[in-house]
Amino acid sequence: MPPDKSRIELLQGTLDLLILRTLLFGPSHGHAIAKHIRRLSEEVLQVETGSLYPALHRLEAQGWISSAWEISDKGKRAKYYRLTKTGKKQLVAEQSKWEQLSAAMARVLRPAE
Amino acid sequence: MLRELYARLRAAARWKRNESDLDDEIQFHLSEEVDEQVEAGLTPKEARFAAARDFGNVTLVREAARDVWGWAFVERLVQDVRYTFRTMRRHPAFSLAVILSLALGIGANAAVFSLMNAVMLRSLPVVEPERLAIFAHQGAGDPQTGSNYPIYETLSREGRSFAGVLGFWQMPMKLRVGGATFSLDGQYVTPNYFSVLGVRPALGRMLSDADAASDVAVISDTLWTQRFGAAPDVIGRAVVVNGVPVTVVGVHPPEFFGLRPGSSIDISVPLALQRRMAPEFGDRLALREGTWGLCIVARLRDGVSREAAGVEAEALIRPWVKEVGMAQSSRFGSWARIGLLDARSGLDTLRRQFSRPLWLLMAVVVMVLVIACANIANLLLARSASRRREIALRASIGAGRSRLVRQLFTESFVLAAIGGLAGLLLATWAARLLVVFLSGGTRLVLDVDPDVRVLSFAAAITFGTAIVCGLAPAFRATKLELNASLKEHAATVASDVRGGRLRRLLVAGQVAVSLLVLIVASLFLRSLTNIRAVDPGFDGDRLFVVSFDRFGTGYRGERLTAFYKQSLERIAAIPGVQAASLSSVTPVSGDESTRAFNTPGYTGSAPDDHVVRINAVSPRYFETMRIPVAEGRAFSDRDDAKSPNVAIVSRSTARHYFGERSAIGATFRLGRDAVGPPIEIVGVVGDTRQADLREAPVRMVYFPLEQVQQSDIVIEVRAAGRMVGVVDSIRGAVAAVSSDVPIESIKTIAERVDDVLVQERLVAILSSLFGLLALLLASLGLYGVVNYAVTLRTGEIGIRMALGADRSSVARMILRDAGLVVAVGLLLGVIAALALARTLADMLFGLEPVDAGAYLIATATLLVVAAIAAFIPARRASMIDPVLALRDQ
Repeated sequence: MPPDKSRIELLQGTLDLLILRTLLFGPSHGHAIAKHIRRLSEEVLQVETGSLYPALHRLEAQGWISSAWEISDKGKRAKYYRLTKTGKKQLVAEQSKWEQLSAAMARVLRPAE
Repeated sequence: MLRELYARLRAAARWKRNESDLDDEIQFHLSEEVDEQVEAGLTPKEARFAAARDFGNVTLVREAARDVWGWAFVERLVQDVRYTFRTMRRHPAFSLAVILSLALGIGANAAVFSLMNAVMLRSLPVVEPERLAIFAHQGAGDPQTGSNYPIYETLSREGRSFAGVLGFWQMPMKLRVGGATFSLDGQYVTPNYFSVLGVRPALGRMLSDADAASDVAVISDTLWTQRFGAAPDVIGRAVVVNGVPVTVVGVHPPEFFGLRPGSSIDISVPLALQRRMAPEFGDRLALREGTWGLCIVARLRDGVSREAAGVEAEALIRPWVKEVGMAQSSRFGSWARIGLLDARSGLDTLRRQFSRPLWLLMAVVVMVLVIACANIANLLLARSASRRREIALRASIGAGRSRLVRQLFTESFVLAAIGGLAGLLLATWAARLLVVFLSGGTRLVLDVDPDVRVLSFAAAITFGTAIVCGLAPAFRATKLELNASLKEHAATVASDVRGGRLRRLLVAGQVAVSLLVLIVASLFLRSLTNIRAVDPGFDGDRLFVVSFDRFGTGYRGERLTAFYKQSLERIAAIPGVQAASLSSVTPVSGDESTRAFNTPGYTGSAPDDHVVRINAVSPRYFETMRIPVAEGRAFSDRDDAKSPNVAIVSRSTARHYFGERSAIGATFRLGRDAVGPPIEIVGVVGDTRQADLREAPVRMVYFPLEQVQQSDIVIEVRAAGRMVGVVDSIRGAVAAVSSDVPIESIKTIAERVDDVLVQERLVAILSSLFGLLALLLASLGLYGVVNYAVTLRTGEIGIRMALGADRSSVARMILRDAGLVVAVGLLLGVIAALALARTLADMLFGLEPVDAGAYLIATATLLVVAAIAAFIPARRASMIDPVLALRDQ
């Protein structure tokens, strides 16, 4: 894939937040999660499969999401991930942390406004 | 245990499920991607390709996902190990070569270390052995430990530095059980012996202070098992030891062997029993002057240093030494210093005897291991060159460099581990063999079974080996240009030249080290030959020495003398026997008995000047031993107890005390104060080296056995012709006199020489063995390198031949290359040997450590083997068909 300067590599840890946020809309499989993030970020955020699946497994190991094999809309077997209760709490915490961080970043980067 | 097993099984099951889950998941992802691309308008084929490209490296994704499971490390390890086994199966010859060289290298190291451990490192199996110290006195020679009972009493009564003081005297004893007699290693001990050491009974009780005058004994676990069938009711049983009935009160634990490594105590009795059990020594407890075999071991009080305690011991004992004049009457002024020696490993007789040879052997086996390592590194380097394509392929499908290095390391670790295990097995067996060898004629009990220390040592050298062997090849192999390696052959040559240089250097090092080992070996072989070639002053050919085990038999004084005389008569009457005699000194045994020699008109200045060694012999002694009578006469049957006292001296004695005058007719007296009766010298005989072949002939004085009573006698027997059957006839003759005094041994002089030279033989034989092993390994290395060079240069050789080079010039070219490597190695080896020469000087006899002969032998041996190793590939090079070689390029 040719490097595209408009695309941004995800920051360490932000992928987890994006996945949790995506799953808030309901259970989804890996491919759909990647597509969702790409689409909502207007193709700016690229989710590498090499990070996506390890992240999913890590989140599952931490108990924030759970997984089950289900039949997809197209009738294929797919592994669906869904947010757990602790996952939701985690999402809220992560999100507020992120908002604080980005607000702080913005204040530092553009002090004039 | 079961629960753990269950957990493991479940983990394994989950693992399998996870694995297939992940595959399915990735498959699903790919198919979704394909669907999407098809919708976007690509053909299914293009879509699949795009999806795969988009997804990236499947293996990497898989590995990254597995990392999350926390199993990655184990999983990779299992994978690498499995891969290693697969590789090993694919290259059985290579693997066997590596494992075998490692097994030999590690095995040799572990074996010598086991021995070192048993002889030098192991502490006594007692409570806080580091607080034990042994009383010793020293002059010019080695420290002596023989003391006496008054010293023991003084130290234990007045010593403030000691928590306890014990004494023991190790002596052979005889146990009589149901009509049969068994020889035992016994000891007379002070009753506090076991309590000072802190040895707990395995059964019954140990001795206590109340046992000072009781007839009791503590036996070893071995004796208990072998003679009493490990019956618990042995406690309280009466057994007859040296004719004295004693009651067994306890069994000491199996690991306790006494305080002298190399021997193993069977039975311990209170010191007071000596008067009755060994009456031939008189009452040793009452002996106020002189010393005997009593060893005194003290347990230091907490916080008292050995040096401080030694100073106190000196202060306590010095007055007695002055009072009885010990310093003047002992050889080499052995009471010059008094002090305490470290006794944590027991008495250091064995340690003193073997520590230098063992260190030397350790150094030699380490060198062998170094050569083996170099060989393996070489093999791995050669293989990593041939595995370049495989590694490049693995790298291109997603294996990271660290992953590949880890893989290659795992391989060397697995090989080393197998080699190490095999080596350890080899070592256990070899160490036992070494003990048998070391023991020579005597009983040597050494526990050389691997303990924690030996196991850790083996593990350490195994892993060290793995790292040393694996490092260079692993990093070199993974540092490569993928495309070049995958595509073409030519590009690899450049990196092979670099690898080749490293490999050549390794081989030069191997040659150097093996030359060093060979030089050491030939030095010791020559030294041994020199010792054997020494003229002992008597004729050792077809000469047997019969020795007896008389302790505790009840035979002593007149009865014992009569036994010896009758045995001599019967042996002399055997048809195959030319001559036989009695003597108090055993030929070639290291035994000696010294006296002060005083003759009018002689006053010596050096402390040793009045010391002579004495030997009491029967009339035909000189005839039997074939010691030439230079002047005067030999002894005859008329020189008996009633006739005037006579003696025969050796040439050195005559020269030392009488100079140019004739010694015949001169008289001398024995003893420090020259108070004995005058003795007339009636003959002068040739010098002999009886105690030690390496020593200059000592001053000997011979007495007729009839005039000087002696209890320890051996019989020399000269066979007339064939030696076969003589031993049995001798046994028969002695048995006909009495079966109560067992024959200890019947040995030829050659066997006795072997026993005395056990150290020298050990070093010479083992260093030769290891030298040959080193040579073999080094020549394999040389062969490998030259052979590989020929393979690499096949094309070049083809061109040379096509351009007109003939076969012999090609062979010369290859040999020149090999010759350079060997020459560098030889140079380094000689330099190393010269540098180490001085440390060997005092272990060699009759030659300088820079002995041209030894260097030549070693170099020649190496050159011959190296020439063979290089010639085989050189010949192959000269056989190359230029047409085929060029077509292959």
